[in-house]
Amino acid sequence: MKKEIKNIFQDSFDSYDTSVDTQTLLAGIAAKRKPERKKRFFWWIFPMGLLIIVGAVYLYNIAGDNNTTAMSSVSNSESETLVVSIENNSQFDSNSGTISTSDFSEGTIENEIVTTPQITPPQNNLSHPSASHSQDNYVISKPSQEVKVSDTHSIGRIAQTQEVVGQQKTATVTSEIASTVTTTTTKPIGNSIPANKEPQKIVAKTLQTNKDKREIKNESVPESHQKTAVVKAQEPAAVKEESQVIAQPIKEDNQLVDSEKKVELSVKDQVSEADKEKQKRSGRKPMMLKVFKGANRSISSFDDSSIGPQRSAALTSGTGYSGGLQFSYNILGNLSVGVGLDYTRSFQLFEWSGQYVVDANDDYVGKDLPNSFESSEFLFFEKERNIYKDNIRSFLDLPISLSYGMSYGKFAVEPGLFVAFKLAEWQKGYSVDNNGIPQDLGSYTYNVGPRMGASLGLSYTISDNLKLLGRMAVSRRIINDGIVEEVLSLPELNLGMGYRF
Amino acid sequence: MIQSNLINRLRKGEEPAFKELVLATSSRLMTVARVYADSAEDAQDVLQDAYVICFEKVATFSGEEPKAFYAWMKKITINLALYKNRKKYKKVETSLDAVGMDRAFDAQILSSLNRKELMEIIFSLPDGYRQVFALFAIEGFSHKEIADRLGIKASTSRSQFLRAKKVLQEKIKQLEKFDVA
Repeated sequence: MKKEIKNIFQDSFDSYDTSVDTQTLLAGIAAKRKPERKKRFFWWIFPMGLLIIVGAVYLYNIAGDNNTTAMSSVSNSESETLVVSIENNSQFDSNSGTISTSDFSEGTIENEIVTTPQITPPQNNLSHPSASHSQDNYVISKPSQEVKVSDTHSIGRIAQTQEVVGQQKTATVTSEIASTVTTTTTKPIGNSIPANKEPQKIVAKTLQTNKDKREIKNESVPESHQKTAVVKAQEPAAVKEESQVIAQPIKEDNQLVDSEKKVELSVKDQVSEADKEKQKRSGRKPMMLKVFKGANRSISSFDDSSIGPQRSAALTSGTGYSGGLQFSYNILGNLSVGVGLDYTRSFQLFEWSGQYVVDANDDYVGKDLPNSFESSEFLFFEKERNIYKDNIRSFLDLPISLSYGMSYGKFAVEPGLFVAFKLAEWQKGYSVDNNGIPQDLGSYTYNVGPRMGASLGLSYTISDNLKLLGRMAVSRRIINDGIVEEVLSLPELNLGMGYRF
Repeated sequence: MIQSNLINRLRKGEEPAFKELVLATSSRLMTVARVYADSAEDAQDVLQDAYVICFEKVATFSGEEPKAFYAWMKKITINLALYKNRKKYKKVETSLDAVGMDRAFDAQILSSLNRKELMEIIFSLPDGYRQVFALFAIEGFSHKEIADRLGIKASTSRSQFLRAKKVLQEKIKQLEKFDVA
């Protein structure tokens, strides 16, 4: 054909507009388009994981505070003290309950601001329900957990007040000690001092020059009426300071002589308990980095609708490997929360035999093309093909786990539950389309759901910080490509190491 | 026809861009589909499929030029139209002997026709003739290439083309007579 004539046809062809009902066309296109992949943003996973860790640390600290405040308060002279209402020289702030002990003539706590025990308004009863010595002018207030009076340990915030009212003397001893202080009343107190007695000058003395023991005596009353407070402060582990408060009420003439009461704030007991707790916790070392590597088996199952059976027939279960790291944090007792990264790679055999047609880009076009459409640049290739290839699927997940540890000597068992959110995915291989023809996995858009599962961890303690770990886990995740829903099950077995820090 | 930034917007998956693309190219591509498809209904179907593929595969298109993008879309449309009609080509196979003659087009007569008339004549060609004619006369493929693509013999492609030419010439002649009358 002459070039001139060809040009006439080409020009006509290339510039000719055929009228199209665009609305119908757009509607038809919309109907044929695959459902859009739901964009799920998992960026919130990171802050959520961070929040969990921070929350766990916070909770841990709160729990730790309950056990350690007393220890720290005892070791810190600012927070552990004995305050006696002093008539003359002491600088007492009734609002803050602080007093400068610079007026103490003796002792080693000069110039120390003391906050506890506090001087409190005279009270004539024991406010704590477990305390029954109201006639003794001891007030134990603000208990938070349990109180031990007369051999009953008190764990909680305790304000202990001794008020002594006598002739020209008033002595109020308040001990406010943080949560883990143990208050022990070792001796019953006598009758209370009559209220009409005038305040009595009380001079507080530090009888011992070391911090371990301080005794404050009321010198203005007879020896038998002396109020004695002995403080033994012990800081757990680090300071090794004992604190003990023994308060003797002022014996008022004949009324109190027969009765003697000592309130022993046995911080020592409490401290030792807190110390044990701390050591126990120290032994646990709540934060642990776990590194796993193992093998998995990937099993796909499809529903019976649509192309499920065809896909199921084409896909054979395979093996793969997985690995990951996890930060596990002991939040409460044996309960731990973990967050980390999991990488899972699974191989499944895709087996298919038949004929189909692809275009020049090797994209599937159709099946059952009877003639050869071979071309290197245009149109189609008809292929008779047997596909026997591994489908490779990889997922990067962020697992969040909750586990419960049970120790048996050096061994420990740790069952748990986890949910792992997909951060990234890679899929390579084939699937089967609606016609039962293999399609490149890349031609599908997937909605990959979170992986949920249960695990059983086993560990062997090698050293204080190092553990040998084993983990069996079974997890499932749902993958939906808009055509059929696939449930990918992944039983896996992992070995790893854990390091506590 | 296609705005230069439209391709990038399509790659980003902007839905309005897809609509713009359809509005900008559908009439031209419908011409292509109409030539290669079996019928007007098939052409509509082919065009829909072509756009769906374009939407899904736009990320694989590496070019930047609007013309190249249109050529890519046109290629997809032709592929789909031919694929849908592939079984019909064999049925319309006729030998060169059956045609018996090869008449030349008169360029002067062709140029006297407007585009619509010319395209209407092409559209009116029987299935098989029309596709071979378009592939040869418009797309510029050789009969060997056309034979490869349509799964027919090269001689069959040649004969179909000649028959298509004859039909066209007859139609053009009729049109001339009509005009003269």
